[in-house]
Amino acid sequence: MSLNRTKTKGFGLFDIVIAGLSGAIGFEIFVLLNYAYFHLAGPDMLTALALGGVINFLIMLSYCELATAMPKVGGEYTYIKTAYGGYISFIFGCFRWLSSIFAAALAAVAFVLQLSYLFSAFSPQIQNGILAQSWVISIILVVAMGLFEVRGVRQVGSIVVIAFILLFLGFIVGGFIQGVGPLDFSGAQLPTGVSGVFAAVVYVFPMFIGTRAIVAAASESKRPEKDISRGLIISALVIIPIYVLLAFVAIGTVSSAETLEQIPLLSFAAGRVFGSYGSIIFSFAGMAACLSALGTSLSVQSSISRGMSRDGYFPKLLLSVHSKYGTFHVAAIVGTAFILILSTLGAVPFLGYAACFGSLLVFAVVNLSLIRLRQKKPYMDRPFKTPLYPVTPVLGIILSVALLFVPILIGDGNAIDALTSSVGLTGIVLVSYYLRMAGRYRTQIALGGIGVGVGVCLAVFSVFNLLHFIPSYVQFFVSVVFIVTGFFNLSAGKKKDKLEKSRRPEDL
Amino acid sequence: MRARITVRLVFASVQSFIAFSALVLALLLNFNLFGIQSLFDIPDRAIAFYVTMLVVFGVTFLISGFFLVYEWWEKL
Repeated sequence: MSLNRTKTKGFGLFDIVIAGLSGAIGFEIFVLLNYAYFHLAGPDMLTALALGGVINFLIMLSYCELATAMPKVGGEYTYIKTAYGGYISFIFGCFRWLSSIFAAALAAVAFVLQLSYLFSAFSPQIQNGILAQSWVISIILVVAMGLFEVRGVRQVGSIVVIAFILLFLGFIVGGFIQGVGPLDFSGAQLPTGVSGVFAAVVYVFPMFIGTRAIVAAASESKRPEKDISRGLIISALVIIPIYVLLAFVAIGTVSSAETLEQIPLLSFAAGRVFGSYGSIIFSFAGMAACLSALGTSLSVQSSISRGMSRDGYFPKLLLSVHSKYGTFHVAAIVGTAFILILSTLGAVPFLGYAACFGSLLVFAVVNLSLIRLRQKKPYMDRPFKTPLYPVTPVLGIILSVALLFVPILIGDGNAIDALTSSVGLTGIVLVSYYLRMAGRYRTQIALGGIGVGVGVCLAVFSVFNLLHFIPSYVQFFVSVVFIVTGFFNLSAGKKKDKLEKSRRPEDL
Repeated sequence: MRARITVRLVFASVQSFIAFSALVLALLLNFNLFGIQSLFDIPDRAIAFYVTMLVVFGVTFLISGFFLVYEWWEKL
Protein backbone atom coordinates (compact mmCIF):
# COMPACT_ATOMS: atom_id res chain seq x y z
CA MET A 1 0.00 0.00 0.00
CA SER A 2 1.14 3.51 -0.61
CA LEU A 3 1.61 6.34 1.78
CA ASN A 4 1.34 9.59 -0.10
CA ARG A 5 1.78 12.80 1.79
CA THR A 6 1.39 16.16 0.17
CA LYS A 7 2.40 18.13 3.26
CA THR A 8 5.99 19.29 3.38
CA LYS A 9 6.37 19.26 7.18
CA GLY A 10 8.32 15.99 7.09
CA PHE A 11 7.70 12.54 8.56
CA GLY A 12 7.98 11.73 12.27
CA LEU A 13 8.65 8.26 13.71
CA PHE A 14 4.95 7.32 13.65
CA ASP A 15 4.67 8.27 9.95
CA ILE A 16 7.82 6.30 9.18
CA VAL A 17 6.53 3.15 10.95
CA ILE A 18 3.20 3.51 9.16
CA ALA A 19 5.09 3.86 5.85
CA GLY A 20 6.90 0.58 6.59
CA LEU A 21 3.71 -1.24 7.58
CA SER A 22 1.96 0.34 4.62
CA GLY A 23 4.55 -1.20 2.31
CA ALA A 24 4.41 -4.59 4.03
CA ILE A 25 0.68 -5.01 4.64
CA GLY A 26 -0.56 -5.54 1.16
CA PHE A 27 -2.36 -7.91 -1.13
CA GLU A 28 0.35 -10.60 -0.81
CA ILE A 29 -1.12 -12.04 2.42
CA PHE A 30 -4.41 -12.57 0.56
CA VAL A 31 -2.94 -14.71 -2.23
CA LEU A 32 0.49 -16.10 -1.40
CA LEU A 33 -0.49 -18.28 1.56
CA ASN A 34 -2.26 -20.81 -0.69
CA TYR A 35 0.72 -22.10 -2.66
CA ALA A 36 3.01 -22.19 0.37
CA TYR A 37 0.43 -24.09 2.46
CA PHE A 38 -1.13 -26.54 0.00
CA HIS A 39 1.91 -27.28 -2.20
CA LEU A 40 5.04 -26.72 -0.17
CA ALA A 41 4.99 -26.63 3.61
CA GLY A 42 1.59 -27.57 5.02
CA PRO A 43 1.16 -26.36 8.64
CA ASP A 44 4.90 -25.67 8.82
CA MET A 45 4.17 -22.64 6.69
CA LEU A 46 4.14 -20.84 10.06
CA THR A 47 7.83 -21.68 10.47
CA ALA A 48 8.41 -20.45 6.90
CA LEU A 49 6.62 -17.18 7.75
CA ALA A 50 8.66 -16.64 10.90
CA LEU A 51 11.87 -17.46 9.03
CA GLY A 52 10.93 -15.05 6.21
CA GLY A 53 10.29 -12.32 8.79
CA VAL A 54 13.65 -12.91 10.50
CA ILE A 55 15.53 -12.84 7.18
CA ASN A 56 13.75 -9.61 6.27
CA PHE A 57 14.71 -8.15 9.66
CA LEU A 58 18.39 -9.06 9.10
CA ILE A 59 18.36 -7.38 5.69
CA MET A 60 16.58 -4.32 7.08
CA LEU A 61 19.47 -3.88 9.56
CA SER A 62 21.74 -3.28 6.55
CA TYR A 63 19.14 -0.92 5.08
CA CYS A 64 19.15 1.01 8.39
CA GLU A 65 22.85 1.84 8.03
CA LEU A 66 22.63 2.81 4.35
CA ALA A 67 19.35 4.76 4.61
CA THR A 68 20.56 6.85 7.58
CA ALA A 69 23.94 7.48 5.90
CA MET A 70 22.36 8.39 2.55
CA PRO A 71 18.79 9.62 3.14
CA LYS A 72 18.51 10.69 -0.50
CA VAL A 73 15.95 10.04 -3.21
CA GLY A 74 16.60 6.79 -5.04
CA GLY A 75 16.95 4.26 -2.19
CA GLU A 76 18.71 1.07 -3.27
CA TYR A 77 19.66 2.57 -6.63
CA THR A 78 21.59 5.33 -4.82
CA TYR A 79 23.32 2.92 -2.38
CA ILE A 80 24.48 0.59 -5.16
CA LYS A 81 25.56 3.51 -7.34
CA THR A 82 27.64 4.99 -4.49
CA ALA A 83 29.28 1.62 -3.82
CA TYR A 84 29.78 0.22 -7.31
CA GLY A 85 29.13 2.99 -9.84
CA GLY A 86 26.80 3.29 -12.82
CA TYR A 87 26.99 -0.10 -14.53
CA ILE A 88 26.03 -2.27 -11.54
CA SER A 89 23.42 0.24 -10.35
CA PHE A 90 21.88 0.21 -13.84
CA ILE A 91 21.57 -3.59 -13.80
CA PHE A 92 20.06 -3.72 -10.33
CA GLY A 93 17.89 -0.68 -11.04
CA CYS A 94 16.49 -2.77 -13.90
CA PHE A 95 15.87 -5.70 -11.54
CA ARG A 96 14.08 -3.41 -9.11
CA TRP A 97 12.01 -2.09 -12.02
CA LEU A 98 11.18 -5.61 -13.21
CA SER A 99 10.29 -6.62 -9.67
CA SER A 100 7.77 -3.74 -9.53
CA ILE A 101 6.33 -4.77 -12.89
CA PHE A 102 5.88 -8.40 -11.77
CA ALA A 103 4.41 -7.27 -8.43
CA ALA A 104 1.88 -5.06 -10.25
CA ALA A 105 0.90 -7.96 -12.54
CA LEU A 106 0.53 -10.20 -9.47
CA ALA A 107 -1.72 -7.57 -7.84
CA ALA A 108 -3.94 -7.50 -10.94
CA VAL A 109 -4.24 -11.32 -10.95
CA ALA A 110 -4.90 -11.37 -7.19
CA PHE A 111 -7.67 -8.78 -7.65
CA VAL A 112 -9.44 -11.09 -10.10
CA LEU A 113 -9.18 -14.02 -7.65
CA GLN A 114 -10.64 -11.93 -4.83
CA LEU A 115 -13.41 -10.67 -7.10
CA SER A 116 -14.32 -14.20 -8.15
CA TYR A 117 -14.37 -15.36 -4.52
CA LEU A 118 -16.65 -12.44 -3.59
CA PHE A 119 -19.21 -13.67 -6.12
CA SER A 120 -18.88 -17.30 -5.00
CA ALA A 121 -21.07 -16.47 -1.99
CA PHE A 122 -24.16 -15.60 -4.03
CA SER A 123 -23.54 -16.48 -7.67
CA PRO A 124 -21.20 -19.36 -8.57
CA GLN A 125 -22.02 -18.78 -12.27
CA ILE A 126 -20.57 -15.26 -12.12
CA GLN A 127 -17.58 -16.63 -10.21
CA ASN A 128 -16.91 -19.19 -12.96
CA GLY A 129 -17.39 -16.49 -15.59
CA ILE A 130 -14.84 -14.26 -13.84
CA LEU A 131 -12.30 -17.10 -13.59
CA ALA A 132 -12.86 -18.01 -17.26
CA GLN A 133 -12.37 -14.40 -18.41
CA SER A 134 -9.75 -13.47 -15.81
CA TRP A 135 -7.28 -12.18 -18.41
CA VAL A 136 -9.88 -9.75 -19.83
CA ILE A 137 -10.62 -8.38 -16.33
CA SER A 138 -6.88 -8.09 -15.64
CA ILE A 139 -6.41 -6.07 -18.84
CA ILE A 140 -9.34 -3.74 -18.01
CA LEU A 141 -8.01 -3.26 -14.46
CA VAL A 142 -4.41 -2.55 -15.55
CA VAL A 143 -5.54 -0.11 -18.26
CA ALA A 144 -7.82 1.71 -15.77
CA MET A 145 -5.05 1.96 -13.17
CA GLY A 146 -2.60 3.06 -15.88
CA LEU A 147 -5.00 5.87 -16.81
CA PHE A 148 -5.23 6.90 -13.14
CA GLU A 149 -1.43 7.01 -13.03
CA VAL A 150 -1.36 9.19 -16.18
CA ARG A 151 -3.96 11.49 -14.67
CA GLY A 152 -2.08 11.64 -11.35
CA VAL A 153 -4.81 10.26 -9.08
CA ARG A 154 -3.49 9.47 -5.57
CA GLN A 155 -4.93 8.01 -2.40
CA VAL A 156 -3.92 8.37 1.23
CA GLY A 157 -2.60 5.10 2.62
CA SER A 158 -2.15 5.66 6.37
CA ILE A 159 -5.87 5.39 7.27
CA VAL A 160 -6.17 2.26 5.13
CA VAL A 161 -3.15 0.69 6.89
CA ILE A 162 -4.63 1.28 10.34
CA ALA A 163 -7.97 -0.12 9.11
CA PHE A 164 -6.15 -3.23 7.85
CA ILE A 165 -4.31 -3.74 11.14
CA LEU A 166 -7.62 -3.47 13.06
CA LEU A 167 -9.27 -5.90 10.63
CA PHE A 168 -6.45 -8.41 11.03
CA LEU A 169 -6.46 -8.06 14.83
CA GLY A 170 -10.24 -8.66 14.80
CA PHE A 171 -9.69 -11.78 12.71
CA ILE A 172 -6.98 -13.10 15.05
CA VAL A 173 -9.02 -12.40 18.22
CA GLY A 174 -12.18 -13.84 16.58
CA GLY A 175 -10.26 -16.95 15.56
CA PHE A 176 -8.97 -17.54 19.08
CA ILE A 177 -12.44 -16.91 20.60
CA GLN A 178 -13.89 -19.47 18.17
CA GLY A 179 -11.07 -21.82 19.11
CA VAL A 180 -8.93 -22.60 16.08
CA GLY A 181 -8.07 -26.27 15.68
CA PRO A 182 -4.80 -27.70 16.99
CA LEU A 183 -2.01 -27.77 14.42
CA ASP A 184 -0.05 -30.85 13.54
CA PHE A 185 3.60 -29.88 13.26
CA SER A 186 4.85 -33.38 12.45
CA GLY A 187 6.93 -33.55 9.28
CA ALA A 188 4.64 -36.24 7.84
CA GLN A 189 2.11 -33.67 6.63
CA LEU A 190 4.57 -31.61 4.61
CA PRO A 191 3.73 -31.83 0.90
CA THR A 192 7.36 -31.37 -0.23
CA GLY A 193 9.39 -32.35 2.82
CA VAL A 194 11.58 -30.13 4.96
CA SER A 195 13.09 -28.46 1.88
CA GLY A 196 9.53 -27.42 1.03
CA VAL A 197 9.54 -25.25 4.16
CA PHE A 198 12.55 -23.34 2.83
CA ALA A 199 10.94 -23.10 -0.61
CA ALA A 200 7.79 -21.76 1.09
CA VAL A 201 9.89 -18.94 2.58
CA VAL A 202 10.47 -17.64 -0.96
CA TYR A 203 6.74 -17.53 -1.70
CA VAL A 204 5.81 -15.82 1.58
CA PHE A 205 8.84 -13.51 1.56
CA PRO A 206 7.16 -10.82 -0.66
CA MET A 207 4.78 -10.21 2.28
CA PHE A 208 7.66 -8.73 4.29
CA ILE A 209 9.85 -6.94 1.80
CA GLY A 210 7.51 -3.96 1.58
CA THR A 211 8.98 -2.63 4.84
CA ARG A 212 11.80 -1.19 2.73
CA ALA A 213 9.24 1.41 1.52
CA ILE A 214 10.63 3.46 4.41
CA VAL A 215 13.78 4.25 2.42
CA ALA A 216 11.56 6.10 -0.08
CA ALA A 217 10.35 8.29 2.79
CA ALA A 218 13.90 8.83 4.12
CA SER A 219 14.42 12.08 2.20
CA GLU A 220 11.24 13.52 3.77
CA SER A 221 12.01 12.48 7.34
CA LYS A 222 12.33 15.14 10.06
CA ARG A 223 15.17 13.27 11.80
CA PRO A 224 16.43 10.68 9.31
CA GLU A 225 19.49 9.85 11.43
CA LYS A 226 17.25 8.43 14.20
CA ASP A 227 13.77 7.77 12.84
CA ILE A 228 14.66 5.82 9.69
CA SER A 229 16.55 3.07 11.51
CA ARG A 230 13.98 2.91 14.34
CA GLY A 231 11.12 2.84 11.83
CA LEU A 232 12.72 0.04 9.81
CA ILE A 233 13.40 -2.07 12.90
CA ILE A 234 9.96 -1.51 14.47
CA SER A 235 7.99 -2.22 11.30
CA ALA A 236 10.13 -5.29 10.40
CA LEU A 237 9.55 -6.73 13.91
CA VAL A 238 5.85 -5.81 14.26
CA ILE A 239 4.91 -7.42 10.96
CA ILE A 240 6.24 -10.87 11.96
CA PRO A 241 3.72 -11.69 14.77
CA ILE A 242 0.86 -10.13 12.77
CA TYR A 243 1.45 -12.44 9.80
CA VAL A 244 2.29 -15.55 11.84
CA LEU A 245 -0.86 -15.16 13.95
CA LEU A 246 -2.99 -14.42 10.87
CA ALA A 247 -1.69 -17.56 9.18
CA PHE A 248 -2.11 -19.56 12.41
CA VAL A 249 -5.80 -18.68 12.59
CA ALA A 250 -6.28 -19.09 8.81
CA ILE A 251 -4.80 -22.58 8.57
CA GLY A 252 -6.40 -23.56 11.87
CA THR A 253 -9.82 -23.21 10.22
CA VAL A 254 -9.09 -25.44 7.22
CA SER A 255 -7.28 -28.71 6.72
CA SER A 256 -4.70 -29.17 3.99
CA ALA A 257 -6.91 -31.99 2.64
CA GLU A 258 -9.47 -29.42 1.52
CA THR A 259 -8.85 -28.37 -2.04
CA LEU A 260 -8.76 -24.61 -1.92
CA GLU A 261 -6.23 -23.80 -4.58
CA GLN A 262 -8.53 -21.43 -6.45
CA ILE A 263 -9.93 -19.89 -3.25
CA PRO A 264 -7.98 -17.22 -1.34
CA LEU A 265 -7.17 -18.94 1.96
CA LEU A 266 -7.52 -15.83 4.12
CA SER A 267 -10.95 -14.86 2.73
CA PHE A 268 -12.13 -18.45 3.12
CA ALA A 269 -10.91 -18.55 6.74
CA ALA A 270 -12.60 -15.19 7.44
CA GLY A 271 -15.84 -16.86 6.35
CA ARG A 272 -15.27 -19.60 8.92
CA VAL A 273 -14.47 -17.10 11.69
CA PHE A 274 -17.03 -14.33 11.04
CA GLY A 275 -19.61 -16.13 8.89
CA SER A 276 -20.37 -15.18 5.26
CA TYR A 277 -19.96 -11.46 6.05
CA GLY A 278 -16.35 -12.20 6.96
CA SER A 279 -15.62 -13.58 3.50
CA ILE A 280 -17.23 -10.57 1.86
CA ILE A 281 -15.34 -8.07 4.06
CA PHE A 282 -12.02 -9.83 3.49
CA SER A 283 -12.66 -10.10 -0.26
CA PHE A 284 -13.28 -6.35 -0.39
CA ALA A 285 -10.21 -5.75 1.78
CA GLY A 286 -8.16 -7.97 -0.55
CA MET A 287 -9.40 -6.09 -3.61
CA ALA A 288 -8.64 -2.72 -1.98
CA ALA A 289 -5.13 -3.96 -1.13
CA CYS A 290 -4.63 -5.17 -4.73
CA LEU A 291 -5.73 -1.85 -6.20
CA SER A 292 -3.51 0.05 -3.79
CA ALA A 293 -0.53 -2.22 -4.56
CA LEU A 294 -1.12 -1.92 -8.29
CA GLY A 295 -1.15 1.88 -8.00
CA THR A 296 1.99 1.86 -5.83
CA SER A 297 3.85 -0.48 -8.18
CA LEU A 298 2.93 1.70 -11.15
CA SER A 299 4.33 4.75 -9.34
CA VAL A 300 7.48 2.88 -8.22
CA GLN A 301 8.24 1.52 -11.71
CA SER A 302 7.68 4.99 -13.16
CA SER A 303 10.01 6.54 -10.56
CA ILE A 304 12.78 3.97 -11.21
CA SER A 305 12.54 4.19 -15.00
CA ARG A 306 12.65 8.01 -14.81
CA GLY A 307 15.66 7.87 -12.48
CA MET A 308 17.54 5.71 -14.98
CA SER A 309 16.33 7.86 -17.84
CA ARG A 310 17.73 10.92 -16.01
CA ASP A 311 21.09 9.12 -15.74
CA GLY A 312 21.06 8.43 -19.48
CA TYR A 313 20.43 4.66 -19.35
CA PHE A 314 16.83 4.76 -20.58
CA PRO A 315 15.51 7.06 -23.36
CA LYS A 316 14.87 10.67 -22.30
CA LEU A 317 11.36 10.25 -23.68
CA LEU A 318 10.40 8.63 -20.35
CA LEU A 319 10.87 12.01 -18.66
CA SER A 320 8.13 13.62 -20.78
CA VAL A 321 5.51 15.44 -18.70
CA HIS A 322 1.86 15.47 -19.72
CA SER A 323 0.82 18.98 -20.75
CA LYS A 324 -2.58 18.78 -19.01
CA TYR A 325 -2.08 16.53 -15.95
CA GLY A 326 1.58 17.29 -15.21
CA THR A 327 2.35 13.56 -14.81
CA PHE A 328 5.08 11.41 -16.36
CA HIS A 329 2.66 9.81 -18.79
CA VAL A 330 5.17 8.07 -21.09
CA ALA A 331 6.83 6.22 -18.17
CA ALA A 332 3.36 5.25 -16.89
CA ILE A 333 2.21 4.01 -20.31
CA VAL A 334 5.38 1.96 -20.94
CA GLY A 335 5.11 0.29 -17.50
CA THR A 336 1.38 -0.32 -17.99
CA ALA A 337 2.08 -2.08 -21.31
CA PHE A 338 4.53 -4.51 -19.65
CA ILE A 339 2.15 -5.15 -16.71
CA LEU A 340 -0.69 -5.74 -19.17
CA ILE A 341 1.19 -8.54 -20.94
CA LEU A 342 2.32 -10.22 -17.70
CA SER A 343 -1.07 -10.00 -15.99
CA THR A 344 -2.71 -12.02 -18.77
CA LEU A 345 -0.56 -15.00 -17.67
CA GLY A 346 -2.72 -15.31 -14.56
CA ALA A 347 -0.22 -17.57 -12.75
CA VAL A 348 0.08 -16.46 -9.11
CA PRO A 349 3.07 -18.65 -8.03
CA PHE A 350 5.02 -17.74 -11.20
CA LEU A 351 4.47 -14.00 -10.72
CA GLY A 352 5.12 -14.32 -6.96
CA TYR A 353 8.51 -15.93 -7.51
CA ALA A 354 9.39 -13.52 -10.34
CA ALA A 355 8.54 -10.50 -8.14
CA CYS A 356 10.66 -11.99 -5.37
CA PHE A 357 13.57 -12.80 -7.72
CA GLY A 358 14.43 -9.15 -8.47
CA SER A 359 13.99 -8.10 -4.85
CA LEU A 360 16.24 -10.87 -3.50
CA LEU A 361 18.98 -10.03 -5.98
CA VAL A 362 18.73 -6.36 -5.02
CA PHE A 363 18.87 -7.31 -1.31
CA ALA A 364 22.03 -9.35 -1.88
CA VAL A 365 23.72 -6.45 -3.67
CA VAL A 366 22.56 -3.88 -1.08
CA ASN A 367 24.30 -6.02 1.58
CA LEU A 368 27.39 -6.21 -0.64
CA SER A 369 27.23 -2.42 -1.03
CA LEU A 370 27.27 -2.04 2.74
CA ILE A 371 30.48 -4.09 3.02
CA ARG A 372 32.05 -2.23 0.10
CA LEU A 373 31.18 1.18 1.53
CA ARG A 374 32.62 0.25 4.93
CA GLN A 375 35.93 -0.41 3.12
CA LYS A 376 35.71 2.34 0.49
CA LYS A 377 34.40 5.12 2.74
CA PRO A 378 35.36 4.23 6.32
CA TYR A 379 34.92 7.83 7.52
CA MET A 380 31.47 8.29 6.05
CA ASP A 381 28.95 9.65 8.58
CA ARG A 382 26.92 6.63 9.77
CA PRO A 383 24.26 7.55 12.36
CA PHE A 384 23.34 3.85 12.59
CA LYS A 385 25.84 1.00 12.35
CA THR A 386 24.65 -2.49 11.48
CA PRO A 387 25.23 -4.70 14.55
CA LEU A 388 27.53 -7.75 14.38
CA TYR A 389 29.25 -6.48 11.22
CA PRO A 390 30.28 -8.28 8.97
CA VAL A 391 28.16 -11.27 10.09
CA THR A 392 24.82 -9.51 9.46
CA PRO A 393 25.43 -8.35 5.84
CA VAL A 394 27.19 -11.63 4.96
CA LEU A 395 24.18 -13.56 6.30
CA GLY A 396 21.93 -11.22 4.31
CA ILE A 397 23.81 -12.07 1.11
CA ILE A 398 23.89 -15.83 1.75
CA LEU A 399 20.22 -16.03 2.72
CA SER A 400 19.04 -13.89 -0.23
CA VAL A 401 20.93 -16.06 -2.72
CA ALA A 402 19.91 -19.30 -0.96
CA LEU A 403 16.24 -18.30 -1.03
CA LEU A 404 16.49 -17.79 -4.78
CA PHE A 405 17.76 -21.27 -5.47
CA VAL A 406 15.98 -23.51 -2.91
CA PRO A 407 12.72 -23.77 -4.95
CA ILE A 408 14.79 -24.61 -8.03
CA LEU A 409 16.76 -27.29 -6.18
CA ILE A 410 13.53 -29.04 -5.15
CA GLY A 411 12.36 -28.86 -8.78
CA ASP A 412 9.53 -26.36 -8.31
CA GLY A 413 8.20 -25.79 -11.84
CA ASN A 414 7.03 -22.21 -11.21
CA ALA A 415 10.43 -21.21 -9.87
CA ILE A 416 12.22 -22.79 -12.85
CA ASP A 417 9.91 -21.01 -15.34
CA ALA A 418 10.26 -17.70 -13.50
CA LEU A 419 14.04 -18.04 -13.26
CA THR A 420 14.28 -18.84 -16.99
CA SER A 421 12.18 -15.75 -17.79
CA SER A 422 14.26 -13.66 -15.39
CA VAL A 423 17.52 -14.82 -16.99
CA GLY A 424 16.07 -13.94 -20.42
CA LEU A 425 15.08 -10.50 -19.16
CA THR A 426 18.55 -10.07 -17.63
CA GLY A 427 20.00 -10.79 -21.08
CA ILE A 428 17.77 -8.11 -22.59
CA VAL A 429 18.86 -5.67 -19.84
CA LEU A 430 22.57 -6.30 -20.56
CA VAL A 431 22.15 -6.08 -24.33
CA SER A 432 20.16 -2.84 -24.02
CA TYR A 433 22.91 -1.40 -21.80
CA TYR A 434 25.61 -2.14 -24.36
CA LEU A 435 23.45 -0.86 -27.24
CA ARG A 436 22.81 2.33 -25.29
CA MET A 437 26.51 2.79 -24.54
CA ALA A 438 27.58 1.95 -28.11
CA GLY A 439 25.33 4.65 -29.57
CA ARG A 440 22.88 4.56 -32.43
CA TYR A 441 25.23 4.52 -35.43
CA ARG A 442 27.58 1.86 -34.10
CA THR A 443 24.53 -0.26 -33.30
CA GLN A 444 23.34 0.31 -36.87
CA ILE A 445 26.70 -0.89 -38.21
CA ALA A 446 26.55 -3.99 -35.98
CA LEU A 447 22.99 -4.76 -37.07
CA GLY A 448 23.98 -4.21 -40.71
CA GLY A 449 26.80 -6.75 -40.32
CA ILE A 450 24.45 -9.26 -38.70
CA GLY A 451 21.94 -8.67 -41.52
CA VAL A 452 24.51 -9.37 -44.26
CA GLY A 453 25.80 -12.46 -42.41
CA VAL A 454 22.36 -13.94 -41.80
CA GLY A 455 21.32 -13.09 -45.36
CA VAL A 456 24.29 -14.94 -46.85
CA CYS A 457 23.61 -17.96 -44.58
CA LEU A 458 19.96 -17.98 -45.65
CA ALA A 459 21.00 -17.83 -49.32
CA VAL A 460 23.20 -20.91 -48.79
CA PHE A 461 20.34 -22.65 -46.92
CA SER A 462 17.97 -21.89 -49.80
CA VAL A 463 20.38 -23.37 -52.38
CA PHE A 464 20.73 -26.64 -50.42
CA ASN A 465 17.13 -26.50 -49.07
CA LEU A 466 18.30 -27.04 -45.49
CA LEU A 467 15.21 -25.46 -43.90
CA HIS A 468 12.81 -27.96 -45.48
CA PHE A 469 9.64 -26.48 -43.94
CA ILE A 470 10.16 -23.09 -45.64
CA PRO A 471 9.97 -23.00 -49.47
CA SER A 472 13.41 -22.24 -50.93
CA TYR A 473 12.15 -19.25 -52.97
CA VAL A 474 10.87 -17.66 -49.71
CA GLN A 475 14.26 -18.26 -48.08
CA PHE A 476 15.99 -16.69 -51.07
CA PHE A 477 13.69 -13.65 -51.05
CA VAL A 478 14.27 -13.10 -47.30
CA SER A 479 18.03 -13.50 -47.76
CA VAL A 480 18.07 -10.82 -50.49
CA VAL A 481 16.08 -8.43 -48.26
CA PHE A 482 18.44 -9.02 -45.31
CA ILE A 483 21.59 -8.55 -47.39
CA VAL A 484 20.33 -5.32 -49.03
CA THR A 485 19.07 -3.75 -45.78
CA GLY A 486 22.27 -4.95 -44.08
CA PHE A 487 24.36 -2.97 -46.58
CA PHE A 488 22.06 0.05 -46.21
CA ASN A 489 22.53 -0.03 -42.42
CA LEU A 490 26.30 -0.49 -42.79
CA SER A 491 26.68 2.44 -45.16
CA ALA A 492 24.40 4.78 -43.19
CA GLY A 493 25.99 3.87 -39.86
CA LYS A 494 29.59 4.24 -41.09
CA LYS A 495 28.88 7.62 -42.68
CA LYS A 496 27.22 9.00 -39.56
CA ASP A 497 29.82 7.48 -37.23
CA LYS A 498 32.64 9.21 -39.18
CA LEU A 499 30.70 12.47 -39.10
CA GLU A 500 30.22 12.16 -35.34
CA LYS A 501 33.91 11.39 -34.76
CA SER A 502 35.00 14.39 -36.88
CA ARG A 503 32.67 16.67 -34.89
CA ARG A 504 33.73 15.44 -31.47
CA PRO A 505 37.02 17.42 -31.09
CA GLU A 506 35.23 20.68 -32.02
CA ASP A 507 32.52 19.99 -29.49
CA LEU A 508 35.11 19.40 -26.81
CA MET B 1 18.39 10.55 -54.66
CA ARG B 2 14.62 10.33 -54.14
CA ALA B 3 14.53 6.89 -55.80
CA ARG B 4 17.32 5.66 -53.51
CA ILE B 5 15.44 6.84 -50.42
CA THR B 6 12.28 5.12 -51.66
CA VAL B 7 14.17 1.84 -52.28
CA ARG B 8 15.65 1.99 -48.77
CA LEU B 9 12.20 2.60 -47.29
CA VAL B 10 10.67 -0.29 -49.24
CA PHE B 11 13.40 -2.75 -48.18
CA ALA B 12 13.27 -1.53 -44.57
CA SER B 13 9.49 -1.96 -44.48
CA VAL B 14 9.69 -5.46 -45.99
CA GLN B 15 12.39 -6.44 -43.46
CA SER B 16 10.33 -5.05 -40.56
CA PHE B 17 7.31 -6.98 -41.82
CA ILE B 18 9.34 -10.22 -42.07
CA ALA B 19 10.75 -9.68 -38.57
CA PHE B 20 7.30 -8.98 -37.15
CA SER B 21 5.98 -12.13 -38.86
CA ALA B 22 8.84 -14.11 -37.27
CA LEU B 23 7.76 -12.86 -33.82
CA VAL B 24 4.13 -13.78 -34.51
CA LEU B 25 5.27 -17.22 -35.72
CA ALA B 26 7.28 -17.65 -32.48
CA LEU B 27 4.15 -16.88 -30.48
CA LEU B 28 2.05 -19.33 -32.52
CA LEU B 29 4.71 -22.04 -32.17
CA ASN B 30 5.15 -21.51 -28.43
CA PHE B 31 1.45 -21.85 -27.67
CA ASN B 32 0.81 -24.28 -30.56
CA LEU B 33 -2.04 -22.13 -31.83
CA PHE B 34 -3.94 -23.51 -34.86
CA GLY B 35 -1.94 -26.75 -34.52
CA ILE B 36 1.05 -25.04 -36.08
CA GLN B 37 3.63 -27.42 -34.55
CA SER B 38 2.24 -30.38 -36.47
CA LEU B 39 1.70 -28.22 -39.57
CA PHE B 40 5.45 -27.50 -39.76
CA ASP B 41 6.27 -31.00 -38.51
CA ILE B 42 8.56 -29.71 -35.75
CA PRO B 43 9.46 -32.21 -32.99
CA ASP B 44 8.53 -31.17 -29.42
CA ARG B 45 12.12 -31.01 -28.16
CA ALA B 46 13.06 -28.58 -30.96
CA ILE B 47 10.25 -26.07 -30.25
CA ALA B 48 12.22 -24.13 -27.63
CA PHE B 49 15.15 -23.81 -30.06
CA TYR B 50 12.99 -22.54 -32.95
CA VAL B 51 11.09 -20.13 -30.70
CA THR B 52 14.34 -18.71 -29.28
CA MET B 53 15.84 -18.31 -32.76
CA LEU B 54 12.71 -16.66 -34.12
CA VAL B 55 12.52 -14.23 -31.17
CA VAL B 56 16.24 -13.31 -31.36
CA PHE B 57 16.20 -12.79 -35.14
CA GLY B 58 12.76 -11.17 -35.04
CA VAL B 59 13.82 -8.54 -32.51
CA THR B 60 17.21 -7.94 -34.20
CA PHE B 61 15.77 -7.40 -37.67
CA LEU B 62 12.82 -5.41 -36.41
CA ILE B 63 15.23 -2.92 -34.80
CA SER B 64 17.42 -2.98 -37.92
CA GLY B 65 14.41 -2.21 -40.15
CA PHE B 66 13.19 0.51 -37.81
CA PHE B 67 16.58 2.25 -37.97
CA LEU B 68 16.22 2.68 -41.73
CA VAL B 69 12.59 3.76 -41.44
CA TYR B 70 13.64 6.24 -38.75
CA GLU B 71 16.34 7.65 -41.08
CA TRP B 72 13.70 8.21 -43.73
CA TRP B 73 11.47 9.86 -41.10
CA GLU B 74 14.32 12.19 -40.09
CA LYS B 75 14.82 13.29 -43.70
CA LEU B 76 11.15 14.22 -44.13
